[in-house]
Amino acid sequence: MSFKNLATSLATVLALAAPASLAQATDWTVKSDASTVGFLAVGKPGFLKIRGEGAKLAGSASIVDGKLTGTFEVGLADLKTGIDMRDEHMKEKYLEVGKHPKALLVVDPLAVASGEGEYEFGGKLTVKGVEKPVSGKLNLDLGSDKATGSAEFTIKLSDYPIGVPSHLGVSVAETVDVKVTFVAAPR
Amino acid sequence: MNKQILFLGTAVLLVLSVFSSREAHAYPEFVRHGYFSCTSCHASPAGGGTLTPYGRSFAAEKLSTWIYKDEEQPLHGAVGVVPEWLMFGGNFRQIQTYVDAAPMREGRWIPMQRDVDACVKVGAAWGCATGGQLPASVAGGKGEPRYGLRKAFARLDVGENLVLRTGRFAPRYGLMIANHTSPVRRGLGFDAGRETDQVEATFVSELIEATAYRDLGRVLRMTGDTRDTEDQFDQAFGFTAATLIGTMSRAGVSYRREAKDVGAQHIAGAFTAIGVSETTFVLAEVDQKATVVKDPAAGTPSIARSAASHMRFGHEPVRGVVPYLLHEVDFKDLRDGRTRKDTYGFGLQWFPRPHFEVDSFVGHVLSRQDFSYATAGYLLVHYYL
Repeated sequence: MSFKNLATSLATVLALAAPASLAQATDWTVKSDASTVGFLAVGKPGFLKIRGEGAKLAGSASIVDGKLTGTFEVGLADLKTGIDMRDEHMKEKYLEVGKHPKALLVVDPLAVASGEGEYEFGGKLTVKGVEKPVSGKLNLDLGSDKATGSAEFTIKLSDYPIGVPSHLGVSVAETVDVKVTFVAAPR
Repeated sequence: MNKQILFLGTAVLLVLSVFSSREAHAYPEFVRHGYFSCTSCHASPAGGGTLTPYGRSFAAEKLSTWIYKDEEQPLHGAVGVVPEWLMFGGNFRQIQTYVDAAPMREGRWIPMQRDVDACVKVGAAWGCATGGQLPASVAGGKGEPRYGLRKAFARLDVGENLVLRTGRFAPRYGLMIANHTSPVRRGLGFDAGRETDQVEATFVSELIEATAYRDLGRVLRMTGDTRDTEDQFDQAFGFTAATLIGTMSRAGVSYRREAKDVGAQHIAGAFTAIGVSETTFVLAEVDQKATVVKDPAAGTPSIARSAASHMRFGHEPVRGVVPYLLHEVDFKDLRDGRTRKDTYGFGLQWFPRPHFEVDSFVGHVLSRQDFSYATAGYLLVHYYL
């Protein structure tokens, strides 16, 4: 075999072996019934842990030339912290879900690869009409027909027109840790 | 026969001590709901006593099987929503006990606690008081019940992390479980009626809660009760420190030193409250007490050591219904294995509605004296105003 033929064969083999995500665009849709959004906040006095859960996640992502972008919506009306009166105050008085039922997260282009990986992501989070930059950690398991993973990031309540949530003398600390678990399927 | 009577009497005392008179202390197992410190729900940093408005709301929505709107408010909401700066309540407890230590059986109905409590909060300053029927050890032993002020303290919150308190209240030690007659409460000298004058500081952060205090001494409040005379001390100091583990568990240590005219007493131990899940928990505490008695004639002091432990495993299958397994050890003299008594059994705690608690228990008390045991049970009804 000539050197030229060998080089051509080798290039062909390498192209075929390249990760699919580097070679093709893929559109993904979040499976809302299998995805969760929750938060952990600290209440004072007492530094009690307030866990919120139940918010709905919807959205889509695209991977083009190995770069992931996405737009995700979090439905806030279903958030619960385990105390009905506190939930009522949180949603009606502070989050005003009647006027602003969803929070919006737009993820900046992020280089990802097939298989499992940990990434630092950046993006913009919009709550009650106010958009602020946000960053966090993403654990992603990217398969050919399913993507799963989780994302964590921290927000400052004072960045948004939420005020200092307070219920019967217990106030929420300024930062809230948000955790998302998701399952997505190709569109 | 004398041995049986002695054992029966001890068993009755132990039953009463494990299951009867329950002071209004905190429920440390609520760490499983993310409540690391007691200050969110109680006026006292050590827990128990007057509930804050948030504490009432929590008790209603997280503890009670059934509720109606505002039912958790004082007087069941009949006076509407009380302003947040004013907190008041009251505890009414009664118990029916039963002991079967063949050939003898005994049942007793005991009205245990009748008191009212109130707190006023102005900015960072609080003033609190509890008064009502005094425990027998304070009131003067047997006879007609007496009434008076049992606890009173002033509290100052300095920033988010520091709580200062001074007045008359129970010293903080260990888990501060609700049953003050448990070996880890009464057995160590923390029984009802043991409130003393103190100065206390508590530091709370996301991970650590630490309390240190100076106890100015237990005033001998009655005459003719040798138990109280023996428990008298000049002054004491102590501390309790705990750390949060994960988001639903905590572990810590406690120490207390009492100076007495005949020597000193040291109490030290460790404790943990583990939230296995939001519905399942484990409480454990183990303590040792060393009493040092100076004997000028002997030259070297004598040291008597005792130990106590408490372990409870509970699960809440339905909101407000908490069956549990209990094991306690009361070891009066570590040098003599025959002074050990084990209590173990099954209990069911139920909070049907805000203001109400029912607790029932059946178990065995095993004495190592002669390896005989008594069957014991109780039914406790608690109403919080």
